[in-house]
This record gives sequence, structure tokens and C-alpha cells, in this order.
Amino acid sequence: MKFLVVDDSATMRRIVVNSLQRVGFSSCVEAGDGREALDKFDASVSFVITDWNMPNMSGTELAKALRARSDSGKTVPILMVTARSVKEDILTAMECGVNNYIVKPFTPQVLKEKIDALLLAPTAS
Amino acid sequence: MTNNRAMELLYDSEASLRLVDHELEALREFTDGVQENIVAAVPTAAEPTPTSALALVPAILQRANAEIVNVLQSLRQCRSALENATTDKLQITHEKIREVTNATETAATCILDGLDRAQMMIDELDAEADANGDASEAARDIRNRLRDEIFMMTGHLQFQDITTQQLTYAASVLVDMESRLSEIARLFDPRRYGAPELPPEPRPIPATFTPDATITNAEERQALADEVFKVTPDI
Repeated sequence: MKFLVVDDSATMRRIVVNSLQRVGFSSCVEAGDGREALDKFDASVSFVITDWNMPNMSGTELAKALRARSDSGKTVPILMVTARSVKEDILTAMECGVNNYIVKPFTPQVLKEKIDALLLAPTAS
Repeated sequence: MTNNRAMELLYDSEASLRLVDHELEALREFTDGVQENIVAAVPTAAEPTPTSALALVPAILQRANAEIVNVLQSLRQCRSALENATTDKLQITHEKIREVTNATETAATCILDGLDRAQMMIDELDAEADANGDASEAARDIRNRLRDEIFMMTGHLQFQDITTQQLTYAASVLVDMESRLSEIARLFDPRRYGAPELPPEPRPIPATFTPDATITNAEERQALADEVFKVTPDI
């Protein structure tokens, strides 16, 4: 199972990748912003974890762009990991096609819970 | 020159402008031709006849001119103070914030590298123990706990991303203040009309940060997100 980890902070990407490895997911590809993520997204990506605020293309724009595609981007689970935590932002993320939401700073346990929930959800790929 | 100094100069300018206003008011009353008012406004006029009162006009205008020159001087000083605050203080502070951001990012990367190496060493210890037939459960338990501790430290390095966003927000506020002070400095520039343009405004920092980023109340904030995403939406 391959994860696409999108964050403009190299530190955060490493932390997310380490956390994924810790909970048993070792296949990851990284991107520094939404645009790079779109370039790297293909049918082999099973899960997208993205930050919100990034240069060039934000996480919500990435989610909208993926949902507008006719390939697996339309259904791939998208988990947003962000410092934004006001209700309006969370609702906005949901409207953009994000499937679940983690507020920074997070723990690996929370990350695993959200991933498991999305993988078990009937609508997830 | 500090912002307080700029404020003092502004107050001085206001006081000078009030004096000018007072003199101009006296002049207006004079030109109305009301002799009694002329006497009140120009007490030095011994014989308030129209001819002698008119003779005072140059003196009044000269005094008004002197006040205006003072005002212009104050305005120049204000502009200089604002420009110094903009170029010296704000830009230096902005630069310092960027240095801190870079330093924390570099430090976080080094710490992550170190933690990765430590994890690999624990893996090597496991391999050594297996190779030597060391079946000590206590030793294995300690290695596992050490592995957990190192992993927890990795997670705590999220502070770097969050503080970077907070610092970027602070930097964006400084850029905004710099822009506004530059605008005010333009207003205070006596060469405003037909004079060479001031340096261009600094480019705004792209808003790739969260103004309310924080490391506090993470559980409460996560609970709010969980409440919103209680039902996984259809894809």
C-alpha cells in the first residue's frame, strides 16, 4: 500500500513517514506541495496525507483537483494533517473532498486510527 | 529614531499647525475690515487705522511662513523617523525571524538524523543479541522501550513546523506594518509631488502559514475535527 505524503515542511514529511513506518506502512512517496503531489499521483497511490498551507497549490486545492479526475484520484482516501483547527476550516476541507482531518501536533496513534477508519470505510478505495 | 520620537514630532507638528491656524485666523479677521477685531488680534497696533493695520500684514505673513517652515522641518524629521523604523528596525527583525526559522529547521533535521541513527543502533543491538544467542527478555524490553522513547522524540519535533508557521505569521505582520509605514512616510514627504519615487514596497510573504497554529490544546482541537468528521463523507 503506497502513501503520498504532501507537506512543504521536510521535517513534517519525515515525521509523517516515520509515523507511517511505525504503524506498519513503509511505502511512501513525498511531495513538497499540491502541484508536485499531482505530478506524482498515479494508480499505485492508495492513500494521500496532505498538509493544508503550502506554496503553489494548497491541500484543499489538491483535494479538489484529485476529486475532479476520472482516475483513482476521484476515490483515493485523503487525510488532511494541518495546524488549522477552526470549525469553518474543517468544514471547508470536508467540502473540498477531504475524508478525515488530523490537527497538528498529532500522535502516531491518532494517525493510525484515522487511516484504519478510512481503509475500513466502504467508500474508500 | 524610535517610533516614540516620531510621535513627539507629530505632536510638535500639530502644535505648529495650530499656531499657523491661529495666525491665519487673525489675518482673516483683519481682512474682514472689522476694526475692533483687528485691535484684538493685533494688540501691538497702537492706532487701529486701516493703514496701520495693513502695515502689519507682512509681519503676520512672515510669522506664518516661519511656522510653516518649522512644520516642514518636523515633517521631514517624521518621514526620516518612519523610514528608519521601516528600513532598520522592521527589516532587521524580519531578517532575524527568518534566521530563527532556518536555524530551527536545520536543528530539527539534525535531530531527526540523529534519532534515525539511534534507531539503527538499536536494530544493530537486536541483531547482535540474536547472533550471540542472547535471549534476555529484560534487555530486549529495554531496547524496545528505548525505541519507543526515540520515536516519541521524533513526534515532538512537530514543534518545528508549528513554530515556523507562527514565526511566518509574525513576519507577515511586520511586512504589513512596513508597507503601512512606507505609505505614511510618503505622505510626510515634502517632495511628494514631482519628486523621485520612494523605493518599491517589499513583496508580501505568500500566506503558507496558519495564523492560529499552536501546540496547545491539541486534544480539544482534534475533538472538534472528529465531531465534524463523525460520519466519513462519501468520496
